Amino acid sequence: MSGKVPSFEERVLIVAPTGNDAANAAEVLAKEGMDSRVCSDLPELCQLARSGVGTLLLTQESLTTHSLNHLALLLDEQPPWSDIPVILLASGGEATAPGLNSLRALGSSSTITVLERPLRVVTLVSAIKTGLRARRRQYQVRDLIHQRELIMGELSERAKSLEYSQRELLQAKEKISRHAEELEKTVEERTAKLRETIAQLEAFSYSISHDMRGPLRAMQQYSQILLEECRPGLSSDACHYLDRIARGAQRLDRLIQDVLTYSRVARASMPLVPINLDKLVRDILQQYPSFQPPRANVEVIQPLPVVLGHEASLTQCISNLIANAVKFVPPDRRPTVHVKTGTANGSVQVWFEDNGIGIAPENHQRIFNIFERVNSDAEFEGTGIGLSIVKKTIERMGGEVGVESELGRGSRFWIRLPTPHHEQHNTPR
Amino acid sequence: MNSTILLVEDSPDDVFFMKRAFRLAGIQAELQVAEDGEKALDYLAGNGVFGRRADFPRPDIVLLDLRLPRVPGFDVLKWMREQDAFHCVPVIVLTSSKEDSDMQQAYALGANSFLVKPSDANELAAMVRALVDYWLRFNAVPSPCTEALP
Repeated sequence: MSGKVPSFEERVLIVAPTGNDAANAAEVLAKEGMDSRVCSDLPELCQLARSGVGTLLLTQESLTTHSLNHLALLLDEQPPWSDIPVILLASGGEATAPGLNSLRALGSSSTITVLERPLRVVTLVSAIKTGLRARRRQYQVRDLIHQRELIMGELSERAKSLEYSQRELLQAKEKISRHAEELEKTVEERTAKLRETIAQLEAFSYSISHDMRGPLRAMQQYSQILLEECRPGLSSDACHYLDRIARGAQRLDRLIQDVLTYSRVARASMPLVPINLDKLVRDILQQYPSFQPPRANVEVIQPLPVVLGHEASLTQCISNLIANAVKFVPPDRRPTVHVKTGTANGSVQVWFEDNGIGIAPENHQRIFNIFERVNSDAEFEGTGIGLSIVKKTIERMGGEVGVESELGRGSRFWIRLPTPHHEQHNTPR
Repeated sequence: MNSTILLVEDSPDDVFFMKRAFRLAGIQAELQVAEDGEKALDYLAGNGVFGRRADFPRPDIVLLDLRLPRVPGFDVLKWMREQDAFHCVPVIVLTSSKEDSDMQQAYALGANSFLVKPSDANELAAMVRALVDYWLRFNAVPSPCTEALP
């Protein structure tokens, strides 16, 4: 053992009630550098031994029936690792004395060395050293056992806390999986609800387009027929009212169609393919007399690029933009529109510049909202949906739309769309 | 022999407009009307009174609305395409709006044309003139369809 050796554990306890044996022995041991303590009788020795002892040195004279009981008690109460070395100095030729026999009976629980007197100092010293060495080993064993107990204790603490953590972990895991289940259920429920809503909306718009347009058609045609077939019998007021009925029906019909187009654009799938804008714009211009001289001049500055888009939707957008460009023009001015292109950051910008009435900056965002209108119906007829269709469609094709304009100085609307090359570049992501 | 056109249409207004458009366009063909899908099927199959082919001749073309009481227009179209007697009779769908899903289903079931009812009376007359010209004058159909089968 390292460090200071606890004195009691290396101490030799001596009992020799008669003669000078005790004092002599203590002297001899002190000379050899060994610690010792002389006790007056066996009971005292036993008492001291309980707080640690190296070896016991007894003389035969110290053994009485009474004192032997004390010794037996001490030896009995020893822990399993302990086997206190006992050296007995016997009187020569009296090896069968009753005290000695009694001590031998204790031999089963103790290591007893009997030395006959007279004896040589060297014999005594070596016997005591042997005893002390044996005792030291015992104490080492005790310490090891103690350490082992400490380690075991700590291990079991650790095991306990590990078990606890594991239990907590399991509980947390259960909680998480319960939450995940709940989340999944919520998502499922919401999705189902959403599907239901979409289905209802679709049924609704289907019903609008089929069932509401019928009566409108009837209003329009009956008033038209009245005007055509019964005109001689009608006052000019009556004709005027009929005209108003027909136009009201027409307007409502256009509104319905625009709302349906908007909702279709918002939910229809739009696979994107490369589109030749030159051809697309040319086709649009040919289709509408209002985009052609003498009603308007629409000049396309070629070439327009190839863009990625959905052809039908893009046709609708560009038709709407050109229609606006030729519509919002003072009555005494011939609409002039320039369609031209610019490229920036891998996307293509197409401009639609007109000589119209222009839009005040505070309205630039507003005009793209559904049903928003800047002008009254008396000035310019419209449903307030055309630009919101453009915005929704262009955004669904991955593009952007915007306007630069000032009141009275014409408008420059632009759309920005990805190019096929740009798309290929992005595909692996 | 005078041609017969079967109009399957539940709206009395639309029937009225169609008759007027026929008149305006100067169309000689006879216009027969079935007010719902069930009547259309009875007419085509010659059930009951429709068995009198002198009064209810087999149609040379059918103008078919989709939203119909009792039997929907698509079912009438489907039934016709399953019958040898009506397999090739041109069916022109005439409805209120161009819903993509309607157009797809109509053509998938064998419709020959898909038209949206015009709101303008003159436009309707022009459309009727054009379709009669096309389907009755220029278009050809194989003989099984032109024979007077039941």
